[in-house]
Amino acid sequence: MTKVILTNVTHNYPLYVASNMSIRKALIELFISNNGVKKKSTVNQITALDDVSLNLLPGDRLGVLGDNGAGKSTLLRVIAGIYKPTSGNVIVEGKISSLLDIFFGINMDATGRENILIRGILLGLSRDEIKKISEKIIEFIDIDEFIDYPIKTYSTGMKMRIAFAISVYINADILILDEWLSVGDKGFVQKAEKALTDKISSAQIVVYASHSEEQIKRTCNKIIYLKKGRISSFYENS
Amino acid sequence: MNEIISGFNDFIKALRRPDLWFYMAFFDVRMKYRRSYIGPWWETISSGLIIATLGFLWSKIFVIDITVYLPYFAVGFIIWSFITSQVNEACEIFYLHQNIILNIKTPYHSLLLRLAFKNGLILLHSLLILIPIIIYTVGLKLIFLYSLLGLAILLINLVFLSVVVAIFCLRFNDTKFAVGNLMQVLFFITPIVWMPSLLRGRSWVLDYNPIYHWINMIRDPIISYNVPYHSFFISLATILVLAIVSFYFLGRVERRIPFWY
Repeated sequence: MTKVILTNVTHNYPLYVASNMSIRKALIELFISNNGVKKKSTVNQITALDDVSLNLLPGDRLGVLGDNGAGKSTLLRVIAGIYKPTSGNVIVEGKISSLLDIFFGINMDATGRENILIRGILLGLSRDEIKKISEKIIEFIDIDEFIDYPIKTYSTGMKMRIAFAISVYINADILILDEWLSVGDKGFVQKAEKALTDKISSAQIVVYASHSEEQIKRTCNKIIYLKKGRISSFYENS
Repeated sequence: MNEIISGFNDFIKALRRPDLWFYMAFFDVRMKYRRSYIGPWWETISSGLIIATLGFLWSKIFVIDITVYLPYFAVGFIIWSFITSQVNEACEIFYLHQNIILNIKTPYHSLLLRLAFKNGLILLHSLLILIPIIIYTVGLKLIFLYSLLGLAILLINLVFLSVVVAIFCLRFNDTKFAVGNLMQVLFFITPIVWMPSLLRGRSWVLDYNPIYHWINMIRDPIISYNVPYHSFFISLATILVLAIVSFYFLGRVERRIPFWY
């Protein structure tokens, strides 16, 4: 069954800066010991997630609110399996489609059609599966003949649309979106919200981070508010 | 040991998704030459030009008959270009695909396999220039199939080697400068331009240089109709060593890679 369960997840984000990434320092630490005790420089850490627990089941649409640096993106990356947390348990079952960065897998010289194909491949679909859904995606994006032009000729709004549509229409169990709908034009935002709530995406669980409380209230049934990596409030939205 | 297993698992996951590297390699080549009229045939032209000019010049300098020197230099130079582009591009590969790594869990090996096949496809275009050279000098022989086998062995070696290079270049910025420098030195100490016979007797420069064996295993069947079993054996051994080293390093740093950007 599709599920996302996080228990007491704490994630420290190591800050690699030029001084602790140098090869000289690493070599010195490797070979020179001080009074027989090897000194290991510590990498500065920031606690990005602090004791976060979550339980999402099919049908859940989780909205993640919080200020800049509250840990929203880190939480999404932990769920997506990109970051392995410092401590705590993460159980995620189901196929994930994540959209954390607009330019993920997008090649500016490739056409819209080709980009649908390559992002589909990167998200783990077979080429047959992609062919099946690409007509639906093209219909949703609604950009006419631009679909056969290179993406670099697109307006920002068109780039958004194509990126959003590919990730939403892909048959994934878990859909992870970061700050998506806040940027498109109004007509598209409405269409996209409808897509999310109508579940024309077959995703059973949606995790969506945003600054816009209003939008999250419209689309999500569970809402958490993150503050300095902790869940400061949680409520269900009927 | 755990590190090696987890690096190995990454490799297996990558192999299970051939679209990620095989199909994407074709896509990369297509993208590289989009809007170019001559396209990947530029590789054929530029290799041909270098081989023709430098081949004639150096055959005079070394006083070696052109029909002997030209196939020797041509094969060595084309194989070398494949090696050096794979290693040099590996330095930037994790930066290039940053948006993949930070967006969805993807086997790291798939990125290096993709790079190796892309460079392999480009190599195929350069190889065409060899056909006329070989026909007019040494002649086509069945024994050349060993060279194809050698190419496959080289490709596998390069995949594992470039995993290690990619990891170190991402972690330590100095590595990419060192790698660029090292590759230049290796070009001159590996017998590509010069022939081993000029050394008068074997030397450590040959014996302990795996790149010599990689090139020799492909070049020797063509220029002297001889299968260098010794070089084949060493190249298979380097696969084993490089695989273990790359699995170990990848397994060790896998979870930290996303933080190194």
